[in-house]
Amino acid sequence: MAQDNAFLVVDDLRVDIPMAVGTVHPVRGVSFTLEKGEAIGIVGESGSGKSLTSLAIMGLLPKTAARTATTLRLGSYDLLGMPDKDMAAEIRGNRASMIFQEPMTSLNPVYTVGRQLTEAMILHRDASTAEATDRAVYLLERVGITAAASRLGQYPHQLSGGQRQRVMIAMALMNEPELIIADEPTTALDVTIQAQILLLLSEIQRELGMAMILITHDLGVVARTTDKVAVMYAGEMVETGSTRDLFNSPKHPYTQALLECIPDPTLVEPGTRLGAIPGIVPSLIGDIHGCAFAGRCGHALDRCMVEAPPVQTVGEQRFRCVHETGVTSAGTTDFTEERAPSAFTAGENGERPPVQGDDANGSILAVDNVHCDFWVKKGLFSRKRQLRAIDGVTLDLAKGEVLALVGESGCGKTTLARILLGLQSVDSGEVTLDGMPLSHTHPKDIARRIQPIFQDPYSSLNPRKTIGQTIRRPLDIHDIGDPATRPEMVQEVMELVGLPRRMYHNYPSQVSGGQRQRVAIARAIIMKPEVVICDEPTSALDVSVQSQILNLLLDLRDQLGLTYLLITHDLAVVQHMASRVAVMYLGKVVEMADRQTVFESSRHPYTKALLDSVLTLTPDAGIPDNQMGHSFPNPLEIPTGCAFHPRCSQAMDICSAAIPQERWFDSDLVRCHLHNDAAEDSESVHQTAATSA
Amino acid sequence: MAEGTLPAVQEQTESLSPREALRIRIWNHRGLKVGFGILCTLAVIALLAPVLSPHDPYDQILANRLIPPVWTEGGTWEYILGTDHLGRDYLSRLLYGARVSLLIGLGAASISCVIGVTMGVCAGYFGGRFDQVINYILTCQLALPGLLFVLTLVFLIGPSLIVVICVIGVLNWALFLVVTRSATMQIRQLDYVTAARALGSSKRQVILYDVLPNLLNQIIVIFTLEVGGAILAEAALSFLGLGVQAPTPSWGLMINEGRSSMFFRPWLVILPGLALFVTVIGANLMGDGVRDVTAPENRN
Repeated sequence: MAQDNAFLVVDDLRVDIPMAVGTVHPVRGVSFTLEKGEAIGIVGESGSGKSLTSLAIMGLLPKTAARTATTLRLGSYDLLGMPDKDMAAEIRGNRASMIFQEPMTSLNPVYTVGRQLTEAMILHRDASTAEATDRAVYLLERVGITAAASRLGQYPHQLSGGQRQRVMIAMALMNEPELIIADEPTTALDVTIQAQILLLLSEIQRELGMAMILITHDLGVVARTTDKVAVMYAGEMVETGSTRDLFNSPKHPYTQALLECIPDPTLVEPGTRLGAIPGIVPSLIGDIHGCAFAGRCGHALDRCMVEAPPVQTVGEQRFRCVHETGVTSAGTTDFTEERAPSAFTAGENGERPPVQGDDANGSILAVDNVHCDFWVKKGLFSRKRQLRAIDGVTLDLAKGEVLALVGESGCGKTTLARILLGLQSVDSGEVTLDGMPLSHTHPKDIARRIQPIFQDPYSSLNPRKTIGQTIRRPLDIHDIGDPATRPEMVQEVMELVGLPRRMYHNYPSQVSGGQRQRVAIARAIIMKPEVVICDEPTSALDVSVQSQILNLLLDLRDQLGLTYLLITHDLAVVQHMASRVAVMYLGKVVEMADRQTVFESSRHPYTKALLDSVLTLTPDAGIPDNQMGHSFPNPLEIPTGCAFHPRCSQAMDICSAAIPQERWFDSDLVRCHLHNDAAEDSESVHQTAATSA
Repeated sequence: MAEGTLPAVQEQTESLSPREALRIRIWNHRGLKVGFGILCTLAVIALLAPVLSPHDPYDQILANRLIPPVWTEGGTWEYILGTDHLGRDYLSRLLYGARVSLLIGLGAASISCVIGVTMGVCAGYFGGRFDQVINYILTCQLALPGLLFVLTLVFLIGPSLIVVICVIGVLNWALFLVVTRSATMQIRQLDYVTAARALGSSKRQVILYDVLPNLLNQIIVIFTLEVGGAILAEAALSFLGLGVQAPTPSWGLMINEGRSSMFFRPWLVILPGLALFVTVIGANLMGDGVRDVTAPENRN
């Protein structure tokens, strides 16, 4: 390596894990260097070896795993030959600390926050309890936790997810480490909190001059926070370079393909097809001959299959590819199965012409001032407390449109979805399907017209039933078609959603996450419903798979004339898919308008803050400060007046006193005191809008 | 587009039909084969006991009392495993004893399975009041001193094979209930149950199609445990004199009868004890094996 004097030197790092089926090589010759004060992002799809690389550096691999490298050095410490006892005493938790993904499980629930914070310092530095406590309080304040001293006596369950992640960061900083490894530090958090945590992490890292390794699958996060990027694929670093170069002129076909998968409005036109990477990550068992990516690469040559690609250097950018100056476009766009119109859609074409999102064909599903409360009771003798999940929501879904429902977790999105599916009764207000109240409709009739797609493809399929049985189930329940012809219908739908027919007899555990999601989609559309409620349909998937699923959803809308309610927290997906957007906050719709208005001239401060938190792929833009207060309030204690006022940067006196009313601007809805005056002029418009709705 | 050589690995498993794949998994599981072998042998023995036995197990020949097994001093080939204190052939009694043990094991475990699973699934799926009532029943059952209660019941009703089966069955469902209840509560929250409800499935359909098949692993494991447990409970009851009644050959009763001369004629206790041990091991191996083979996570 060129920079042998760098702070962290990793050269030709390999990890081998022997298993019954053969030796797995999840990390195959990873090399990089890192200076103090520098941040490197390691990106890649799941299974690319990102996390194991960091665990290998920290010496935290499973016992059976073997680690080899030519150099593995942190400062003056040679980590390669260091016994585990010394690693624990000198390195881990002292000179190098880690921040993990899941704030809910990475803190021990039976110890107080204070004890967990001070433990490492007392252990490594022989600090007194008082010294350690002082530092803990200082750091908690530094990471933005209010009333820090009193937090030390609290247990993790008393903190919100964002607060826990802040505590994790403070804990990692206790011994002034020189290296911080953050493994997906914000993946489990809402976008608004994600932006705040990243901002905090980045500030602290620069201020204390620490080296940071940020592992993530989210290219937006990397673009905004790191100086360097390494793209990993099948255990290899296929491309490394400075963040700016890598995002502006990616050289490796894999990097380019990944970038094309992202529904980033600066890169692709909303509603058009996204790029996608066909196939799956290769098996990591045994040796890979030739280039690991060759099987999925649009530019693969014959020799890519047999000989390992050379490492090339352009400026600071290094990449492994046979193409000399890299390729200019991924060439994988629109690989997706060009499907001939199958019998499944052909029969429908006459009745249901493809609908465009903009055609407002009257509403199909209308939600009128719906309220839904839950009663929460802690313990036998405590008082029941009211949780307002849905607090006066009015929406309507026009035929053929994609209405996106956006908001942080806990805002009532999923409850609303359950209400629309007829699985949750309402306390007041009414949901009507084509004018018929949902409460008077038989569950089976609702089922035939409204179907869901869920977030987690691992829990949405019955593991005991084959894929064929799962997709066929709706036909059996509703007794559609002749039992003998049902397998044929299932196969047609499988083809429509891009599942190979041979998977009919497979169990869900035998197929990939993306394929599982296709099964869930097939199950939802086999009865030809009119409305499909997609609850975070892609947030559990890798970007390359996400783009395939989004393409599929858009195709199906055109082919089957579906109407979508898209529930998500990912605004990039919203901007790509939606024709109209409704923003929810604590059970209320605070703003609703068509996509363009929301993204270009949103009215509500919450919408603006959400938009500010989105990390687009602009390397030099830095992390936005959305200026929101720290956390999403407890839905049991909804603030008075406008529920958003404690986090609002434009809050006025009236905001804490009075609940803002719905104001209509033509067909756009806003609930905010800032827009009271403007709305009074268009009061008449409100009247007409209300009657038409 | 070159598809490469890599995806080929995936395709191999997919050409197998589910039945073939199941057969391969069964064949590759040693514990299952051993357990299955033991239980099958026992079942055959139980069925063919009249044919296999060299003597009538009820025939008392007082002149031939307490003959030791053939491999010890004084044993004869006439009575391979010796005779008991009434001069009955021990081998024949052991073979007939398999009938009683298997009948009680399977019968009692089935009864407790039906009771426990029904209550557990209802409590877990419907929750609320239902759950509270069932939990109350469970607490009552757990507070009862098991064996003592069984003893009392058998004493009151009068000992017989059917009574023993029913009493053991009716009083041993706690484990079924606890496990199925918590598993059902977890499954109820999964998306595939929500999906099934959104498809318009009735509660019965959801429970039978989506919940029960996913409880099968746990039920099988507990079932085999309970088979073993019931066999041991019967042995304990018979040992105490309140199980199967005297002339009927039962392993527990045989241990009881041999107890008085345990130190001088240990085979009287060891042989039926060994039979019990092998049976319970076989049941447990079989249960573990079935769980492993049918577990969806192993279907790769």
